[in-house]
Amino acid sequence: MSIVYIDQSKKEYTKAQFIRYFEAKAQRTIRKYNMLEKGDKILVAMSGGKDSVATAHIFNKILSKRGEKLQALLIDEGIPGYRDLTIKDAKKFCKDENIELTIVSTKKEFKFGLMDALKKLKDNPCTICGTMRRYLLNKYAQKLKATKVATGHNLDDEAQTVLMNQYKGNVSLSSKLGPITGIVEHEKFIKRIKPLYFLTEKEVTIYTTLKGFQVNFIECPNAKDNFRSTIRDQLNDLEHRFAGTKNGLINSFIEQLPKLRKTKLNAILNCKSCSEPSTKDICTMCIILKKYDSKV
Amino acid sequence: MGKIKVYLERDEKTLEIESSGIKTISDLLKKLEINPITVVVTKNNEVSIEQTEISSKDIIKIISVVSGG
Repeated sequence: MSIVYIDQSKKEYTKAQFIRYFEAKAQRTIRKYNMLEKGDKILVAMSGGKDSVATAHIFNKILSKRGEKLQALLIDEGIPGYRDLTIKDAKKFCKDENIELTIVSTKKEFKFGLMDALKKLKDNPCTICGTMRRYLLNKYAQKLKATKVATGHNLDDEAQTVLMNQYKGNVSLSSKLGPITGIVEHEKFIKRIKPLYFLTEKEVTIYTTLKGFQVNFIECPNAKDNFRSTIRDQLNDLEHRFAGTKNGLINSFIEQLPKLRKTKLNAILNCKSCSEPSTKDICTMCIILKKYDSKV
Repeated sequence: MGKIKVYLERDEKTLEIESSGIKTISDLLKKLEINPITVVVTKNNEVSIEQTEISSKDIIKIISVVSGG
């Protein structure tokens, strides 16, 4: 049998061994952080990319054994040449796996897509996109009566975000990170869980390739050459030269997280404009909407 | 001797690389100046490790692990 992967300890894996390793690691994370409790209704934040597809497959496998159904939600922000492709993959995947997929378009919800917003607003595209997505994800998670939202964030994503917050002096934002978020209880804020938290981007790519899932390994056109991609390249360079860098970063972050949450985590309020959860009087989405409407 | 055909999935293009000095996937990635952490390589549609030997008869595909936003 040919070897498909060698880990940091030089252990070799065949295809079957790698799939077992990957799924067991994700399931250990789910158990360790109580991501799936009795009565939970899981909604996967689906993009059609490798991370969300792997997350959905793992949860679907667990829930199917219990006779329960998994739901998926895809936010379509209308990025041409990117989102149209991932929607196609998401639809096929969910049909094959018998997962109920809900697609929410920002154009229908806010009357504009990301490209319209970028023409009017001078903000960073990832900031606008991320705000729209997080807002709709939480709003529709409530509508779909989900108790937890599973996202496909992997070890690379988290390591990049930790460093970005550090470099930008936004350490308080890191208090919202971790394998399970939404630690501050709020009836309208649906907790987010990350079962791929301790798996690298490369491991997720190997898994989806070995499983034969139809996913486009494409990068969002707005993400090229942004701050995150610079940090990502630096981290990959360090990892190549000093194996274990990313794991080291995440493990020390996890150690510090409880302290960070005690001192930096803000209470969750209701936005005075839309009543959705927010850490400020007016949520970032409402600020963007107001700004968009004011620019004719 | 000959040329190795390498398909880069992210760029949707095929490169033809002189096979001299390239015995393994690791040699190929070095020649292309690609960090192995950032890609998954398949040889004849099978996921393969860096130490895998390759020749001009093989179909090589390089998949970027960076995707999404």
